[in-house]
Amino acid sequence: MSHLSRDERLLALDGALDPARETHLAACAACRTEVGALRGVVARVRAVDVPEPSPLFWDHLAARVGDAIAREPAPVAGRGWWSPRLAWAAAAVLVTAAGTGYLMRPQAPPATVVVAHTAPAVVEPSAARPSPPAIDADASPGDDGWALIAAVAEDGGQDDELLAPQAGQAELSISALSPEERTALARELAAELAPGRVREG
Amino acid sequence: MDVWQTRMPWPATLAMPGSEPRHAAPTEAPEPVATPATGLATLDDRALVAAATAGDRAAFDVLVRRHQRTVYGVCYRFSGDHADASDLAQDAFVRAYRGLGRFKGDAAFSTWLYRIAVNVCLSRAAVKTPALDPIEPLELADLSGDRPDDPLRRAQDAARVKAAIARLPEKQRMTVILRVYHELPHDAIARTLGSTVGTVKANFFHALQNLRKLLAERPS
Repeated sequence: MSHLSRDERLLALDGALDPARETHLAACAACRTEVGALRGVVARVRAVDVPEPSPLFWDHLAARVGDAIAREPAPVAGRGWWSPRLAWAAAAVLVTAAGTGYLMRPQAPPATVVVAHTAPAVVEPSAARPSPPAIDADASPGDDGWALIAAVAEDGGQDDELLAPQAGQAELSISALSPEERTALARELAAELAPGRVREG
Repeated sequence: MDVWQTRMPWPATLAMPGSEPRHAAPTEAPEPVATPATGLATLDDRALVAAATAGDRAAFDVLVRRHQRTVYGVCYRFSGDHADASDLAQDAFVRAYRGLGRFKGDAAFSTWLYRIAVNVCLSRAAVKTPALDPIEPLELADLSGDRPDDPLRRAQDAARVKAAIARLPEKQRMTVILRVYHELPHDAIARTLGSTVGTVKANFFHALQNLRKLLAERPS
């Protein structure tokens, strides 16, 4: 029968070795020596106590901690790493990434691709281009920006209410504009929506 | 499950059950919590955390007094030095205070706090090597056999063991501390260290083997 493995030797220390292996341990001098040596080390380590500090030390330590936390701002309930500032930064990254992606998007491919010098073949655009990945942090492991956005999407932290658009928010924002600002906004929107408008460089 | 508290019924001295505490009476009563808000002392950890998070610093002081012995003990076992252990314990409590808002109550507060203390020790170890006392040889060579229960000899052996533990790599050292002194099971150690059970077992085994070698060394 084979000697005790590393895990079995640890189990033997805890007195939790399988009965069949206990039989081996009882019969095998080499294994008994090994386990005995480990037991001896544990016993010697266990025998070392923490020296008791002065009785005044505990009051002193508590006072030191009290002084230190007195300089700290009060803890914020329910706030993890997900702060509003980070939320807005992530939102900015998201918007920038979406805008960049839109501007840098490839031109639409021709409806059909004819391969020259061979029998004409028709390739559907959907087959020619891979479909975009689903939203999954692991889908683009090399893309930190994507991972951040995916993490933000998955987090569902306590600050979601700070990020989610609230009903009537746009109306509220517009109602806060001055008459001149509303006129300017209407002019800008009309210009943007005019048919045949060419994007200015 | 509060592994730390259920497995540590001896917070006053951090001595193991069955061992002979040499520095405090084993029957020592629990330390009275001296705070102006004595009513807080009757609250459980969860209620104190809620009060501290709501801005009651006295509630956090009660938590400090309740857990400082164990936190200090972990830090002392790891650093081997009273002054360093005091600094590490203070740092652990300050970090815990800063992170109270992140304590979700999934585990016991003590488990969460001690995990912070362990991380403080390990991160400090990354920038500071503990003082390495020389491993003094014992006058009598046979350590495995029966020994006279001589306090001087026992102190000498304790110093040797302490010096040997200080020489272990940080993760091995912390694994030995959590396994031997706090009797945490391997899976609880793995959760505390952010590791796997297999790694914890390997670290513990290698730590014991290293200690065995270090304690067997004789200066030339």
